[in-house]
Amino acid sequence: MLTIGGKSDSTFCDGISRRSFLRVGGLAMGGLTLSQLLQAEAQSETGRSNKSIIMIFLSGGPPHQDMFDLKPEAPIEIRGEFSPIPTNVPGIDICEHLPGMAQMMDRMAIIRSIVGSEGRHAAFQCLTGWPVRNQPVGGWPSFGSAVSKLQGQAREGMPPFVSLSPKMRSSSWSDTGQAGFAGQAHAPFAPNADGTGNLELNGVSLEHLSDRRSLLTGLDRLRRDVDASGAIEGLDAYQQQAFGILTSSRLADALDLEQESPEMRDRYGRGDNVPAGYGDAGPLMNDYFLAARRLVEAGARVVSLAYGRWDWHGRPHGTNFENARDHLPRLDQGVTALIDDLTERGMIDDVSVIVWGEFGRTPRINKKGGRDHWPRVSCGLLAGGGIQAGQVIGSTNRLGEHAKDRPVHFQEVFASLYRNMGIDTNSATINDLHGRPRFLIDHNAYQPLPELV
Amino acid sequence: MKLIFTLRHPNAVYYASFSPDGKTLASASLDNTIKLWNLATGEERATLRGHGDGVCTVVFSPDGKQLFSASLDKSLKTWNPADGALLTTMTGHQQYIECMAMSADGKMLASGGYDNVVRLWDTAARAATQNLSGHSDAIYTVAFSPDGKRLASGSNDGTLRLWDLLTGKQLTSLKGHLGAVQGVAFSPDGKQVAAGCSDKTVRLWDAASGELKATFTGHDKYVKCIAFSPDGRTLASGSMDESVRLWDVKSGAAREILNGHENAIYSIDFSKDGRRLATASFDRTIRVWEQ
Repeated sequence: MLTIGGKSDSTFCDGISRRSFLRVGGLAMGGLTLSQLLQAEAQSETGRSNKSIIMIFLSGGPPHQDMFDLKPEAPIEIRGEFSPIPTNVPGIDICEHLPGMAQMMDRMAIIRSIVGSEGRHAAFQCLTGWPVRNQPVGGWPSFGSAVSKLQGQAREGMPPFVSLSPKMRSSSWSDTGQAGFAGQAHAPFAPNADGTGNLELNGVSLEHLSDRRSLLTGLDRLRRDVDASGAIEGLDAYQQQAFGILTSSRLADALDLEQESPEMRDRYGRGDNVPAGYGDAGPLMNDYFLAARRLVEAGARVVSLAYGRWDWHGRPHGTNFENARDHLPRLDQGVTALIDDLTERGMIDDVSVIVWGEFGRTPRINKKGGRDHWPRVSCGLLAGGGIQAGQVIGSTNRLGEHAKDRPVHFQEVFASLYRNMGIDTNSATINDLHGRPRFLIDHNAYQPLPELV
Repeated sequence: MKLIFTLRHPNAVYYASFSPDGKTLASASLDNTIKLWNLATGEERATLRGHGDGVCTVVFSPDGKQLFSASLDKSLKTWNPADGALLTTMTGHQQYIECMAMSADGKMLASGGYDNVVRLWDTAARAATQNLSGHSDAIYTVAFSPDGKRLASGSNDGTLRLWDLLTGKQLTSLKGHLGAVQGVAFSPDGKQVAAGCSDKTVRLWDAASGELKATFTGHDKYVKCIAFSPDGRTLASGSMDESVRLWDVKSGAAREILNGHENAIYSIDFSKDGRRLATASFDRTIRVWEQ
């Protein structure tokens, strides 16, 4: 529900607290009020950029050698069941179950040599660029929180960082992204994190949120009361932003997929809102891809989401290849629809899309038909954001065991994403809880990928 | 055969079996549920929830009044298909269960899985009665002989074993295939044992002598499930190659190939009158085919 209440460290004569807060359901913003969320020193000067990032996290570690780095010459116990197909970029082959991506490879870049995985089953490294171990006090901010901190709101009425990741049995995969020392004001707005699905805000359906009459009735009463007392002037800018978000239909509209045509939803693939595979991860909800596009279009700077269950150890939960035949076509449909849609709307050069997971999978197929964890190398797909597309960066050895040339660290990818946002990782810092400026990545070691420029 | 229904779960479907009267189909899924389908209309009649992991098998009792399921959650459950009520939970397996079969008279269940033991259960007492030990890897498939005196079990250890259920001793190990045994069935007269194997073949043995009688080839990937038609003339096989093949048991010719599934086929069942076939697949669908 939408609650508008007061807490009483300072109360006006009419009973309205000076620290009136606004709450969207349980809010799922790290349990904070919206005003707290916004109550940070957002850099309004950079707040006009229309650059954004959509990150699709493939929970569990997708099999690099069955998607973008097939090894048809390897022995059968390594090469697996799938055949490579040519793409529209001569010399680049990818899996036969990604035919849509193959036809738009000239608009994408593949990285085949991602290294530096901590080997942990978690979204953390794909959200922050850092390992879980040895974090500074307060914790590393996820990239959405860092962008929120550095650039603030792009548009009134929209949170800068939205995570569509749903609640899962495995909480390390459903991680929506910690704010860390960027401060809880920059935690993601996470409408699916309570597990209700269907893009509902905690306990609040979109219908309720967009029921402007009941919403505004409450807000108008508060405004009247506060205005009468002159307290509106006492509300800080961030509380006013909170008003902005709640009194604007922008967020609710962006999350309301019913506003899209059935054809557009079909084009993305819709999806089943049931945990995929083993049941401990998220669903294959292609609706999230469409929602991500709507959110960045409406002004969100970073939208992250978790998609499916890619930890395919084999029977009895299906072999690696059975699961791949289940997941890959759906991913193919969702990603290609997203890129086409962004292109058709003229947004593709402003929106960076990244698709990846926490690690790769073992070259050798195990006796249950699965592939196990392989932190030594993994793959990723990039599109949009003005990158140099139609290329493969890096390679692995004959069996897909390790990076053969051009190893690409997670932080190099983040440096590139930040760069696309207009953030220079050589100079941008955020103070940690001790007040010590922290760079977003280890900029002495890692720079944006020159290949993408 | 022609496709008459495509029925959907929101996750992979591991098993589908007809009720004795052919009016209902029960399906078991990796979505942890069992669904009951009205075969007059193809509409979903009920979803049974209670298992804590994927459901690998579901079968009706011969009178159709009970439903038995086995799950990756290591339990077997009994349900009332009329109202969907959960009646009993039986436990004992130490690891994932992969397969379960019911004897023709409905008095026994056999289950196997990743603890490498075949467990026998008394359906009236709803209790375990016997363990059959010997396999050295996961048991993928079990089948009772029609008279209920023998059991066939196939495993990832590459063996296909026949057991005497009176003594609990292994009678023989059938030879000829290469690799894991994925699906096994007795012919309706009990004289033959058929198995689908990782070597992409369907093989037929004499159940008494253990002699390999025939090898059917044609599938491109491993054969995961098989079933005899009630008249014993046709053997149906489902494969990871996404096709269903209907074999003439006498000649070994592939009489018909059913295409349409988009992922591995996990189970095949004939209706009692032999006119319909239900195939369950990792593609999240059950397809019902009719002559």
